Amino acid sequence: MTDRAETGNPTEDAGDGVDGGRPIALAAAPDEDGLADVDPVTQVVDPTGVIDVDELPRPPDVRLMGGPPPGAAAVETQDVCAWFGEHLVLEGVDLTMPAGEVTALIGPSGCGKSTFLRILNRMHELVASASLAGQVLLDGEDIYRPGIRAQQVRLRVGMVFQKPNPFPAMSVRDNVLSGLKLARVRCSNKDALVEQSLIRAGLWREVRDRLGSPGGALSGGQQQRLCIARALAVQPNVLLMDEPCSALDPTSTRRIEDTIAELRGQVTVVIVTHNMQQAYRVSEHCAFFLAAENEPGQIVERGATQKLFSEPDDSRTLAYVEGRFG
Amino acid sequence: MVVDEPTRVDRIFGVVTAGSGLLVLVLLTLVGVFLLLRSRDAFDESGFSFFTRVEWRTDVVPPEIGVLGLLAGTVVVALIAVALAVPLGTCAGLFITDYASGRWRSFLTGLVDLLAAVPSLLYGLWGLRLLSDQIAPLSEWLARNGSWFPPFRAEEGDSFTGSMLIAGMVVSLMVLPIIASVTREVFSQTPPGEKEAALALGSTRWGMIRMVVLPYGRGGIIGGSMLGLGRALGETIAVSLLLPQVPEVTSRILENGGATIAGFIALRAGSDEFTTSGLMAAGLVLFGITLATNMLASVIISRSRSGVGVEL
Amino acid sequence: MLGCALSALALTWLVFTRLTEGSGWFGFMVVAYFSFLLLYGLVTADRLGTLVAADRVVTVAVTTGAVVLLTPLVWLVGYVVVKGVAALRPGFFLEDQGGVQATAAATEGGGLHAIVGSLEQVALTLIMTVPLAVATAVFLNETRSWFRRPVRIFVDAMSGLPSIVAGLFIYAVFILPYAQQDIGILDFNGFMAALALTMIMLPTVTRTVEVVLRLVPGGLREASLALGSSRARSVWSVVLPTARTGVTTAVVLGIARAVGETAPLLFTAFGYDLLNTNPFRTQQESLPLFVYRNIQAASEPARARGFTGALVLLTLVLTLFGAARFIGRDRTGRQARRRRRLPLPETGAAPSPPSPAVAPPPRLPTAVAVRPGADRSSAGDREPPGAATTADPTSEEAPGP
Repeated sequence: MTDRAETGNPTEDAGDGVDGGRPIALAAAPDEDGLADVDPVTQVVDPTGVIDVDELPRPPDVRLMGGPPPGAAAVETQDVCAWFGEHLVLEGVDLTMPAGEVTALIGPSGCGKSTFLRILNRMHELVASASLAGQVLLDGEDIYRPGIRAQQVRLRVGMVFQKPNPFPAMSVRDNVLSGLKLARVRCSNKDALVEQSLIRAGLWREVRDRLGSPGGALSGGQQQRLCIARALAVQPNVLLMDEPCSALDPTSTRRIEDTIAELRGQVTVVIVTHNMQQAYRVSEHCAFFLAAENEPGQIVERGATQKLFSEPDDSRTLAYVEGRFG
Repeated sequence: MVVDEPTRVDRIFGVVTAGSGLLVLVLLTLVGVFLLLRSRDAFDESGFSFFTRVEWRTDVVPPEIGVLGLLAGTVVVALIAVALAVPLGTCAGLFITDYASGRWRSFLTGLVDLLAAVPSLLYGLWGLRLLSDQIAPLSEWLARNGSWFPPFRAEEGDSFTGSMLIAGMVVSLMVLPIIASVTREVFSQTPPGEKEAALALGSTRWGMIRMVVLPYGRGGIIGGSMLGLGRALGETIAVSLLLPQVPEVTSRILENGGATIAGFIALRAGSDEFTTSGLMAAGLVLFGITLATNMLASVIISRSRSGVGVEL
Repeated sequence: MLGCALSALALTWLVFTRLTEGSGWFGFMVVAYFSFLLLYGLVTADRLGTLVAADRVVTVAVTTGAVVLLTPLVWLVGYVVVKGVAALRPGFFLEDQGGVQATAAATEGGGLHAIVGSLEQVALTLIMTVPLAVATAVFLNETRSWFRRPVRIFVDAMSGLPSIVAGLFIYAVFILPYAQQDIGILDFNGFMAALALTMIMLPTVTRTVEVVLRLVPGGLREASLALGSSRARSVWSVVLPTARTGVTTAVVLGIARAVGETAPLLFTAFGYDLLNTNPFRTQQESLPLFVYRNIQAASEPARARGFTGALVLLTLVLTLFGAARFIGRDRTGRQARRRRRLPLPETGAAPSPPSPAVAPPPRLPTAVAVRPGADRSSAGDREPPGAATTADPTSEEAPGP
């Protein structure tokens, strides 16, 4: 992906921005059309703010060059094991995360959920002593096969961290666009992309008047949604969320859950959470991780969230979801 | 271990950064190599006696040059400086971490940095033109009443300015900031839990410091002192202004006299070829000593329990 | 306490006038101080017990240690200013020492040649040092090479390199072997001085920059890598911009240090009485050299000129130091102002999160300064937990979250 952007294929340049004649100049539209227009985009940016942004259908795409292929992608792991040094932390994890749906990973602390999540976009290997076995398939393609770069994988599989970490030296706008800059993805209509990403993250209305102020000046919940917007701006196929709400208050948590609901169908979401209700609310699929003492983490049970929470097959799952331990 | 294939940019990035890291290594090695090369004349001429001879005379044939007198002066001045600076620097570090409140703390931290920023030339200037005359009477008094203590002996009729004591005092001001900042850094990392535990046992603040803070920071104090010693050994300009730079081996720190390697080299800048090669040899000795002292200091600080992550 | 001080003074006076024939005020101060400590300790021990006495005496001693830091600095600055102002004329910035006799009045001629030389040498030093230092710091902090350990040790060792040795080294490598060959650039000149200064400045700037880089939260690196960035890009676009303030502070402090270095110049720039604007050819003067030579001169006017040079040098150093502190502080100050202003646009807007639009405060120096509820009136042995652990000098350079 990146290579294409670097070489700057001229035919792509020509096609960029006018992609199928779809409207891109979002920012210009509202003032001319006003409320009369039924185009949802117009309502989104309507200054009167009559309609709640979060309930709107998503705005039209802005096409990126050198970005990931469009649409959500399924993720499948086959017999994944992970080590830190000599220490086996994760053993034999098989899990399928269907495209465009939300999969929640639950389980007590230290059972390898976060490690598993970081394996899915090759962040795991950033730890010096980390090693790995098994296969991770993104739309059927092994992301660990030789010849594929971690960068390319991470561009397709975005990530939101536990602690909000907007880049402090950048403005809100630059934060949203930072992924493009960092991964050398190009986009002819950056304003539209900023707006689209912020709308998808449910943050647009709160920050549209201060896109130039530093990212660090937002509240914690806003910062986290800014991070989501930043991850969405490169239009990834999969979005990994590592306890995105653990540092946030209930209202901000609610907004982020709304955002996740919005993303359904567009992006495959994999979320690690310690909050059972949250897992129940946001996910279609659920996997329960557990690690016995001095044993590597494993998946105890996986399946539809409804079933896992109402009539789990494994007694440990039942105990966990009912809050009897963990 | 998962291996990621680096991009071209990353490869260039790796080469450039590693190259600049390598440069530091190469530079320091080159310093030693070139000083050795250029000092060959001096070593050829005096052989091993270079290390045992006190005098430095280039006016006789064959020239007699030795580094011992210089070395003795260097060590004495540095020791005086460190002896004065360690208690003061430790006090200052302790005050900043455990006594000072609010505004004082950041003010003093800034002050320590400022002390470090004042050029050594100005310290020398101040010591030469002002402090010398203020200290001389004290030296005189000490010499008169304390002559039972060998370092305080002085010859009758000798001047008390331009002494190693004064040089040491001025140099101590220059190493003070280093010691103060290392000790402050180390003290500030004392686990608050241990401090609270001591206080909860009914200890006074001093009791707490003695029981918890000082033992915890001991490695830092020793390492900081070594680091200060390294600086004091290499201190050039102030010493070259303050001392007469006549090589001698003496314990009499109160009277006019003494020389240090660095100061001596500075004073002889632009001499003839043979003297220069002698200076190179002396410089090599100084380089070796300071390098050893500094390395030892780094090791002590990083080995100590408190020193992990302390910036020197 | 006052009583103790008075009696100590009296005692010392007694000792000095009766038993000796005086040893100057410095000795007087030292003796008075120690007798005060002793008396104070005895009195407190008598009234409150030895434990408290030890605590009190140490408090006094430690506080004195801190005050002693201040004394020489104020004294030195005051002295240089008083002595230097006398011969300071605008001409000092406009003329060199051409045709000025050693015995001519101190106000004749000036230090233009020295100022120009200093500025050029420091500028050249900067051009060489900054990229190297930043690259080395990035190497030490942002890469995973096995090679980092030796480099760090060598950087440590190099920062203790005596400045005269740096000068000697440049002299031995570039100047001495080509002494009679009249190659412009390989002779005493400003560029050689800059090389020597680079040797001094490189390790210090590298280490300060490394500390600053270490303060950049690891989460930011992860975030940028998770966005598909290469390591190089994430350093260039995220880590360095975040640490910009700290890096600038480090560089400015490095300049302050380099401007005042004298020893390496003795063997490299050598000094010259006339204006030489070309740093790549022939000897060049610089402020420290100018001061160094004049201050040792026998003639009174020359010394006065030296003091004037010292004043200019001191002003330069203090200004640079102040600038470094200001830059280090500036960002946090601006953020504080922004934080106050930010909630305003929110008013009137539709539901916003209940948490006020305020970022978790970055580690401000002021945050360190506020010490909650320290009961100063008590025996002073109660310390608010953890207050002491925040005294991090670099926190002022720390980039905000």
